[in-house]
Amino acid sequence: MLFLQQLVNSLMLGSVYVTVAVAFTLTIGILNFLNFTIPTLFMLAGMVGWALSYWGIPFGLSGPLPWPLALAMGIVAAIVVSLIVERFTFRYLKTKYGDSTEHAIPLVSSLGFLLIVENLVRIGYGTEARRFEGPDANMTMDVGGILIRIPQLVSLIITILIVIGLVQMMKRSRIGRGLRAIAENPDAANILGIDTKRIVPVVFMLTGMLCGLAGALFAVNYGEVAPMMGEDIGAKAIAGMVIGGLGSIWGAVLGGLCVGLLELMTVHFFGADTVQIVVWGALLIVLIAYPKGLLGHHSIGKGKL
Amino acid sequence: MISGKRILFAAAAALATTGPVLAQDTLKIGHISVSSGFLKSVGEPSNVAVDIAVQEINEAGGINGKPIELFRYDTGSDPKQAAVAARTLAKDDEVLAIVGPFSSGEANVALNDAERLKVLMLPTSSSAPGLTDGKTYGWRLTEDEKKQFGRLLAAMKEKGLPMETAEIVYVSDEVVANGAGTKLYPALLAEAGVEVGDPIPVQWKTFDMSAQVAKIVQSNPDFVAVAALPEHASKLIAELNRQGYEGRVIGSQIFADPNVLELFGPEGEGTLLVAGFWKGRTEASQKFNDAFVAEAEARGIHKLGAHHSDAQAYDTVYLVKQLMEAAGTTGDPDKLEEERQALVDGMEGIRFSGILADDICFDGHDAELPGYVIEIKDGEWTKFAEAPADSCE
Repeated sequence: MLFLQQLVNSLMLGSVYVTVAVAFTLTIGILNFLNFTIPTLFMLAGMVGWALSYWGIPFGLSGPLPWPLALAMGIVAAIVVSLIVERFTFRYLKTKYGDSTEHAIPLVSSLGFLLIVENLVRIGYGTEARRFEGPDANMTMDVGGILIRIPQLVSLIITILIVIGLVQMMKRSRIGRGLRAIAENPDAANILGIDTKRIVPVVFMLTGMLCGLAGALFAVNYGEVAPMMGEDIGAKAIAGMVIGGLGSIWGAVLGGLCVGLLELMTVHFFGADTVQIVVWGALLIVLIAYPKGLLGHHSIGKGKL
Repeated sequence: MISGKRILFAAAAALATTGPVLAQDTLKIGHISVSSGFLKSVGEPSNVAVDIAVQEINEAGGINGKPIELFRYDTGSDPKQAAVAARTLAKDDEVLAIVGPFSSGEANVALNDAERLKVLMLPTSSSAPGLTDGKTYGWRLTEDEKKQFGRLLAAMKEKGLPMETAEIVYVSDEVVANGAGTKLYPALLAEAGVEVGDPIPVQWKTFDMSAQVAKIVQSNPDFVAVAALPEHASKLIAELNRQGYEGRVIGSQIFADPNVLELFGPEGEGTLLVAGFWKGRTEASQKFNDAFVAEAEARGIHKLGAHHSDAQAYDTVYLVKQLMEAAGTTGDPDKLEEERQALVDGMEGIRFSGILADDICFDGHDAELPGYVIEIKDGEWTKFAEAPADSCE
């Protein structure tokens, strides 16, 4: 019974990684860009949501907001910051140097954004964790002796629905086709008349939305937010993305769930001190033995959607 | 990382006097603080406590007729910076004594520099046992984890709380929590006749404790002993609650911060911990607590009450005042080494009364302080039991 409980716990934990892993795979799959601001966007939604629900809009413009509205505004904040990142890393560098797919410079720039935003939040709100007063995070249902937390279950369902929607959008919509064309060859896409200047921000908007949503669901599920809450989740989501296969949305889903499973089973059998070794060891093994990942594409290191 | 305090002080002093401010017109005290980095939230409030003490002393005429000039250095929570701070304060700023650093990790490094620099150093929150052993210049107005946790267990026993079985959860990659979780707690629990499982580690970055808690719930112990900072204790308590655990959570000084009342929420009800400061002990203790909460709020730091680290920082400044008065410290730069040594010598056999306790003595180089077992009851910080300070004899 304990083992089954741990399996369910693993699935729930994995669902936290899934959304962030999908955000990573989206930017790497389309833009060949490992966007380091993703953990910050995740954190920002949670912290902004908390601040608005605890204090309200700054400068006394409002009292504390209801938690759903506060989290919605947190998600909006994540999207806005993501678009700012696009403007000052990706677009700026493309305009200046002509090749934004040279990923080293945007990568370093996004790392800079991560540190700047994280430290601004630390200065503004301190470093301690904050209790998020959302819905009752303790609501559980007992299925044959196995406890399932309802908010986590709802989060998992929301995550899966969003991923399905995203996959459909990529396959069927005009924007999705444009994004896939850019993923294949940005220069050819330009020649074919796809306006990359207008379409690339869509990737960042989706990234901001996914991360914001993940941060909001985290706040609801764990009832707590902190300025550093994105760090470990971001790292594990990268591991999940690589294990699942670079550039594959369903690979990110599978990889995220695998990381959750690996993590909690390691805690169960060996203790928390070995988690990092097992998760990153698994990633190295996958990279060596099966470089494209579980559901990845053939072009190693250049996942294409 | 020297703050603007020195400049502000100099400006204020210049306005208040007609002549130039000479070095010997003030008594220089260093403060190694944490105003940034991962310990910012727990460490920064100590700045408030130190500033209140300095302001009170200066407003009352200073020490030996001279105001304190405070030199503050922020370590950014980095122990290496604590060593740099000690050297900067001692060599460049030529302070007479150093208040701080804040944490055990920083103190572990900086106390060695104090020995080389031959300057009195008084860490304000360090509670890891043994850090001042063999030191001449390092002294602490703090109480160690072992003693305080032992007092908590004794109080539980005295009140007849169930304590046959326990589980230990600790943060494995944090110095004090690791030491408490793997050494102190198991030893003290065994001594108290409690059957305890293997300590269960969590890591600093762990946010999901469902796997650890599932195992705890399976063994269903009478209580769970937690060695962790408030945010980790909070995550654990929340998860224990979610998985239906009905026993108590206990902890030592590590998460004895009044702000846990908000952080833990209703799930924290019944939690027991030990604090080294009780605001209602004396009128002065209450006055400090009220002034501290108000001043912290004015600086944008939300505090429900003073942590014992804050009270210790406040009392440490007054301890330095007592030393300087006894030694007749002048602040004359030509007598710097001599006056520094007089302060260190003054620590031998000293007795000090402050907001923490009256007639505090030092066993070795660590103070003997009382312990207050706190219970979170009806959402309030209530006194469950009290243990007087041990004798130094």
